Amino acid sequence: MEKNLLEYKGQLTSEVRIQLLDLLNCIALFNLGPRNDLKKLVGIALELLDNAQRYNTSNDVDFQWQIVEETLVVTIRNKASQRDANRLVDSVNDISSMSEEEVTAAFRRQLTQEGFGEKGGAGLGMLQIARKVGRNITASIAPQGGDIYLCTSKVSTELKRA
Amino acid sequence: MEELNFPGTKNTPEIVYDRANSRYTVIGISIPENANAFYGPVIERTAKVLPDMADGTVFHFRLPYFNSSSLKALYMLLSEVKKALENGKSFIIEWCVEEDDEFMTEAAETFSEMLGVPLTVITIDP
Repeated sequence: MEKNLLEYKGQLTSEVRIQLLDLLNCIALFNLGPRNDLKKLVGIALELLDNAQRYNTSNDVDFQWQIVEETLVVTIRNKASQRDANRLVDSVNDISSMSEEEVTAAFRRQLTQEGFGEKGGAGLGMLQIARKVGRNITASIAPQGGDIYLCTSKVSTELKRA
Repeated sequence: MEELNFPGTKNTPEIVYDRANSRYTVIGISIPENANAFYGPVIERTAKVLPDMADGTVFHFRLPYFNSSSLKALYMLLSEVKKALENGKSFIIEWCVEEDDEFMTEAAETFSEMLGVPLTVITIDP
């Protein structure tokens, strides 16, 4: 039996998001044990779920939280408009090319910049993940017809010894 | 003078300004899908009452979880508090962290560094 896998496929609403957060907290605590970075790890999932809900063109997502040996891998798939899908890929590519210091500087710039995006986001999610757990973030998109693209975002991070 | 009372929900914190007790509290999980829609009115109304708040008013933040858009909204809220401090007000800002929790501790450090305002970190039980 796979002991370190949580997979959710279905509607992503605010209610589902809060329930997943509770569940992930519980799963992380009981499978990884008490540790200082538990909320940070769950925070990766939270940011990916946030993005998916905000930019989803359908309500469905495919979400996966998996621990493989000493690595946590969080993956989410959702549909988005071509514009939002391209923004996701551009953002992840930008972060990949940044040094740690550049990530921090970009995070600070984005945090202090006036206002929010048109869908209420702050443009901080991926930068926050990169700042907290490193830059092992990938994003790919695949056309689904018309203006719709399937976005796959994946974050992996080595689990420090608790 | 106006008091504030934004009831908490599953996704948003309870935000209350209790003038009689000189306390402004932000308590609960903050993961709204649209942080601007939730925090916009909070920041606007807080900015209006700040000039009339008594010296010694305590701003108490206890947020076990918040998303990055809430982080930005909280930064904007604290920026308003900072403006009042720069105009001569004297407030206390308390930021609760669970013992040994990196997420909440780093948030306190981020706000303290970026805003340049003193935060009193209070350690609480998880």
